[in-house]
Amino acid sequence: MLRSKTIIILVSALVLVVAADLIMSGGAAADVTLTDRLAVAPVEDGVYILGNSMFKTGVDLQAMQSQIPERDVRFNYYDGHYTSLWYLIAKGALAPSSERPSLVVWGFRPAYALIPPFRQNRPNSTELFVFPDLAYERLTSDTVAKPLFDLQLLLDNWSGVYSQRENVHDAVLRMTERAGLETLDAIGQDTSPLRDRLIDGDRTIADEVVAAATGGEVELTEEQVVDGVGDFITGPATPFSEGFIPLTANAFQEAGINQLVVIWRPIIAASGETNPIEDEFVSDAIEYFESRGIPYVDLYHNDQIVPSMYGKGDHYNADGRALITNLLSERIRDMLSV
Amino acid sequence: MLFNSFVFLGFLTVVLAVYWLLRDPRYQNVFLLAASLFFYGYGGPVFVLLLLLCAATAYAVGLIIADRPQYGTVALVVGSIVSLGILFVYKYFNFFIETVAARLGFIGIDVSTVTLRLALPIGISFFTFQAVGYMADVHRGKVRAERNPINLLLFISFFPQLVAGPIERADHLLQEFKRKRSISDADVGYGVYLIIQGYVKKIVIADNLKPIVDTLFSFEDLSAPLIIAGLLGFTFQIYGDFSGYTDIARGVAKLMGFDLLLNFRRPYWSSSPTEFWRRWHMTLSNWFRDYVYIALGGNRRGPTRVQVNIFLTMVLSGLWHGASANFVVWGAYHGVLLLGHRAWLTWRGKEASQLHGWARVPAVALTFGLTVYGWMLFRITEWSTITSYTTSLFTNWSFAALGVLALFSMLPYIVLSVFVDVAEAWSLSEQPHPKMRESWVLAPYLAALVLFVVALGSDSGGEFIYFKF
Repeated sequence: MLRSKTIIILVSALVLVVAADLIMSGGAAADVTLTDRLAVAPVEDGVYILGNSMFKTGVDLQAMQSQIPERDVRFNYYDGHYTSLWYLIAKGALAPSSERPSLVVWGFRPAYALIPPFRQNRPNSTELFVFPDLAYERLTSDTVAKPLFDLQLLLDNWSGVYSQRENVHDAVLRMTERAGLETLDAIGQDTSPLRDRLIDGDRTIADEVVAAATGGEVELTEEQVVDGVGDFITGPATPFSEGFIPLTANAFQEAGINQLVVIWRPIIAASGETNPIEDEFVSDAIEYFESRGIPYVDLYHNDQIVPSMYGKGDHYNADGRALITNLLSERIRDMLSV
Repeated sequence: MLFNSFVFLGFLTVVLAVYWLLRDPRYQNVFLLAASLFFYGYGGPVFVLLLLLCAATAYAVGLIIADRPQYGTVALVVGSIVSLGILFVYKYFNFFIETVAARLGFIGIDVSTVTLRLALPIGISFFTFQAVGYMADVHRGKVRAERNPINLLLFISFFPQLVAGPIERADHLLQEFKRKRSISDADVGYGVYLIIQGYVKKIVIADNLKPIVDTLFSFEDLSAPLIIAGLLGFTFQIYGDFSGYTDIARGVAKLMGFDLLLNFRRPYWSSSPTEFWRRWHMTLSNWFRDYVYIALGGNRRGPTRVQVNIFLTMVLSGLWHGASANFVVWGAYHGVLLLGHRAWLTWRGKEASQLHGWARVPAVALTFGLTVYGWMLFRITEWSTITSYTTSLFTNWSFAALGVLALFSMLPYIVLSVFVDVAEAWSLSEQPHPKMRESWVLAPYLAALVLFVVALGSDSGGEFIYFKF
């Protein structure tokens, strides 16, 4: 028997939380596939970019779309510390998808040899990680200290509300953006340029603030930030063959999905310095792609990309973005024969 | 160990289970001391030695004052030098040396300086002040010297309030450790309520406001609408961050049968700067009042001296927050506000402070505006940026639409902050409303807060702002 009103109130609150969670779980679990959980859905015959901040600062999506008007170009962005997602997405979300893009563009920095390759410290931080994969488990087992009791994983698996939190955050953000624009419209402000960029484009308010504060010199927040502190696990260099990149490329090949792999050029290479470990990593990658007939773009050795084309660290600025967008668009057009 | 980590939740579960199994207060205290030292040493065991040194000094000084009263004042001075010396070396030494060198350089004397490369121990300003407060209270005869070293060590190191307060007093928390403790259902309810509320303030409100505030304040030059948006965001970020920590600390202590001092009482509802400091970080304000302001002479030495004492106390209070000129300026700014308010009351009479109902609205709005501007002095460390922002507030009103959008992106969390404050006011008020903690409304309210934490809580796991003080 419950002894007091206070305890009954606490228990009632708990029951309400569980009920709400069950409702969310029920709604989310019904026939939802990993493909449905992609932040950006692939479209039939489209170009699907799967990338992190290197793509965000390296590709001007609207410019690329205008250069490839025949195809729908979409960009699925995750932070760099989610990079091992590419493998999981290739295998779990894109391979079984009924909407087959004509081409998936993804890529990597040779720094992944040192960071090291595709390691990160949040292996289960998004719902896309939540499916057993032996290769993934093996490659992360020595880099990620798995706690005895992983409450985060437990919540990811069992809580409908918790597993939907990224969607909730996104929905709140979109709602506030729209409310702000409506308010500005109501007081007679011309918000159409902002609306184009925020609602129809892929820019954020933070991007707009950065651009405003720098007089347009910097366009994206990612140009100013690189390698979020604490998000990457560092460790001894790992050979190319033992990382996620060949696994990812292989997953696309096995699924019969055309791919184009971008090998990014870090600022150290653009500055004319050499890093033997990164050189060897890239060399092994190129050898692997050529032996398997996997299309790739070698920006690592591309001397057109010079130090003045970088923002902070390896992230590109507007000049770098313009050049790389042209290079990639040209290559994509060739591959798709459009 | 951060309150907003899963590790802490595991730690707390084990501590509460063992604590209540022990039953005997003596064993409970020993266990709590061990748990507190583990909590503090979790991130960097070496700093536990500093904590122990500080506590041992306070213990020894207390005994000397009690047993050798003729050496009491000397012991107090030596003990304070040791405790504040630790604080000075770790927190202020480099700032002091660099400031002196800069001043000498300004008058043409170049000196080579030596700076220390020391990491700042978390919570050092809190536990050293608590130790100094204990020694001063024993010396004043306000409390008796504690002869049980476990109790005294626990008083200095009690883990819920160790790293960011509330700054406790010996006549309060130390006495709580000596009594047999019990916990009622109402205590459990209130403890849970405070903990959940604290997590909402920290990981939903503060941690979601942080990215946009950080982005806005990463530039040396901004237009007024963007500065205002950033300042409003930071106003609620720092309140959520700090009062959230305090709520969790008080809630955790409550679950162990202890009452920690109240540290915040809806500070942004204040109708004057004086009232603000009675509502914001109350335990620090009271500490400075009792051990600095009164030691300087308080109200006893004439109106001019009172004004000097107020100003000096606020400057020192600003410096307590960090070894940086901007904190000194922030303290001085609030000192000027307090003096201005005193002058206003002198001119208009004491009844000018007795505002009720709608009459409070303009006063609250003005106090809020002045406080928000003050946060700029607190948040921005570069003087050139402070100057540039202040100039922009009067001259550069470009990007108004973007400022509105930035504000809207933070609005859900600002509204939530206000809502939580209103709910707390309702829950704690004696009349005319029923106490919320005994109301059925509490069940859906708590459920909603938990769902907010789960669905909207930030993953960033950000540190608490006041940890670095």
